[in-house]
Amino acid sequence: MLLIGSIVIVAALSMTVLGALFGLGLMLAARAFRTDQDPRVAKVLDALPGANCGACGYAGCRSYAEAVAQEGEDVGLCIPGGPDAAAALADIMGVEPGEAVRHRAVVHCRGGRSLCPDRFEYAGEQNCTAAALMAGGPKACPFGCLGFGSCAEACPFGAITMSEDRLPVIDAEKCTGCGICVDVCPRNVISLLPAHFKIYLGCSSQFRGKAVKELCPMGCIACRLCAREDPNDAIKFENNLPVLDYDKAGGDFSAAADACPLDCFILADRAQPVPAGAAGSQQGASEETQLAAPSLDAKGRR
Amino acid sequence: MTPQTDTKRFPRGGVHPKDDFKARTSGKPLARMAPPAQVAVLMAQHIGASATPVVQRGDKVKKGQLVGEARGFISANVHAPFSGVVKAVEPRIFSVTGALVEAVIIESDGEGAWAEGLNQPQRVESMDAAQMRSLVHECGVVGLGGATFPSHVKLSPPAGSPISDVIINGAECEPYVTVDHRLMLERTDQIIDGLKLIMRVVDCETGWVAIERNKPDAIEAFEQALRGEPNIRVAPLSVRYPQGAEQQLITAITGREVPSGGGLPADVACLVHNVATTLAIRDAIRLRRPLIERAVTITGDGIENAGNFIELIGTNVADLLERQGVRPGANQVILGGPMMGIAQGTVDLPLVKGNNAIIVRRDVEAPLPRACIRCGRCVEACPLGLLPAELSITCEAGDWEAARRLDILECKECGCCAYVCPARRRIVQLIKQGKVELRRQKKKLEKEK
Repeated sequence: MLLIGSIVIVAALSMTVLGALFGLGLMLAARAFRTDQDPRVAKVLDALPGANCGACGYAGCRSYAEAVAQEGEDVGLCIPGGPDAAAALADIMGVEPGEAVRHRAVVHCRGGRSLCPDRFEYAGEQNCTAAALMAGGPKACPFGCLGFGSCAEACPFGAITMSEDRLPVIDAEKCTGCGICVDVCPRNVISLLPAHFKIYLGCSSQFRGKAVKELCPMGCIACRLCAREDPNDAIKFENNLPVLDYDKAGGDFSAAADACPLDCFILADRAQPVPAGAAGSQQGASEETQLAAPSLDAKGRR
Repeated sequence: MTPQTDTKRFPRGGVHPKDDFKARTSGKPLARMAPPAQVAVLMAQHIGASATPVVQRGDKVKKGQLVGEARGFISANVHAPFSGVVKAVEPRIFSVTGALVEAVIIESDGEGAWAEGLNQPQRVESMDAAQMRSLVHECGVVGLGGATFPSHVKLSPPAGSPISDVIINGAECEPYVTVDHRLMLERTDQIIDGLKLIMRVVDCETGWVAIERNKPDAIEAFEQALRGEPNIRVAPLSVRYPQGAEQQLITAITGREVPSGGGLPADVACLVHNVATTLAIRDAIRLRRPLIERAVTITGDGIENAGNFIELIGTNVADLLERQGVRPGANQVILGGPMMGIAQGTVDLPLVKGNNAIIVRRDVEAPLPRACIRCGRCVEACPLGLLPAELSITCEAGDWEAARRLDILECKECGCCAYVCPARRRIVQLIKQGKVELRRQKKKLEKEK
């Protein structure tokens, strides 16, 4: 009994002494090797969204925060954070925030599976990049969305869902405009649009006329009516597609959109692909319409 | 020197694909059929920069006339395969990438005459290497084994890399394909002539004609023809895929290994040209004849009348299939061999310089891939000593950086791994995707800099 008691005491004592010694060592080491951390790094990091999306060009939020605090990097690079983050960073760093424009991803294709079917049976890897490598991808239109949902899978903010017709639907609220989907898409059907512009083209086909109609009823046939009817003269045709000069028109292409016989212009507030003829009613479709639209998560398909 | 007869093979990996089909067409002589009424000549049907169209709609062109001019050194000219009128310059599908590529559409006028100065005997004996090279360049010769690398580039090895061995690649290790076999039987002397011209251009003493053992008649023909040619030897090869891959062939014959990380055959003093390419080079130098036609095997269980044909570049594949008859149930068309060839999404596409075979198969079912069971068969099969299983897994997970560390960029996509995989994984497609992703990342980084 006595023996056991003394073992316990010796053990407790020796552990205490050892603990104290190590603690002292750590304390001295912390003093000796102290490094001064820029407190601004932590502050900047706090002000960033923390999605580590890489849209700023840095590996993650921490790298960007360090660059801002220590190397004087531009405070307006955080795309998901938008003007708010830019302002917060400018405040911390004591600089002018500069002009940060919020962007949103938009899809330039309305030809889902039902309208623009596959031209062959594809049995390869179920993602867009791999599919595009196989004979150019199964989609009949060589310019349209392949519909495997690589963009939805890549979106770090969960802003993209695939519709039943296998077209990406972008949730304008969740989309931060980081541009990852734009990079991922092998067909380049997604682009970034300044969020205050509300209209864009829903087709990427560089074909014209009959060649488009044979593939997809929704396609832009390059009739050029939009360019003719646009009062601002802000539409130029390149590769059989209208190129919209948003600054020139102040973002207003309503006349051109009205002129389009195929309703190729999409109003950003109702980013759902609208069948031809039904796009007559404009603006005002609420967030609910978007959310209520049947959608399928890209990962759920597998 | 007596012809060397010991069988050569590459040291590592490889497979022996089942092939009941070579026998179906190997006995059929190359046939020249009636030319099509219309052709579509693609501006980009080779590795390197695409050619620039130099004709316009409505232009009259002669047979062999230049219609697309090479842009830069690594590029190739393209020519009109017959005389006629340019109907349009518009995009057509390029069978290798599936992408749309600018094409010159020519409608035949039925006249047979070559453009002036072409297809005439040249004064070869007085030519120097540069003149011969420029003829090869002018005639738009590219590697006809399928890789379509511009031949004049290969004939211009970098200064300081002398060539000690020119190897004519008659391995034809892909199943089904028999065009090189037929060319070797039917144009033996011209191939040897081409080899000698190539040896002259690169100033090399030793030549090889490498043929797989499954073509004993071709080996025999060359051994006969090469009697009294001490500098040129026949190298019989063991029947093993990918014996005809450039790196594997070089190792099999010379024992040298092309360095990884973008090494060239010239780094180990070798130059390899495919049989058909050698003939095209020979025709370019001897006759100034542009590359406007090529030999094609049309075969597969979905084809009624299989055979070997000489076809004009730009002929519509659908027309060829219709001519040879497609059996019911046919559901897959591959351009190229079954191992490295590319399954097509449509047959409405023009024949290009790299198409050595059109294979139509029927009742093809695509097996569903399963998870990798780590059996290691792909590792044994990989002729490059890569780890295809790991590559496919990292690509599936989207870890491109890990794939890069596993040397994904060394992969030649020969397909041995996917061929042996018991889980039927699409290893090659995943690797192809990984390469695209890495290229994309690199481009993005460059843009940001």
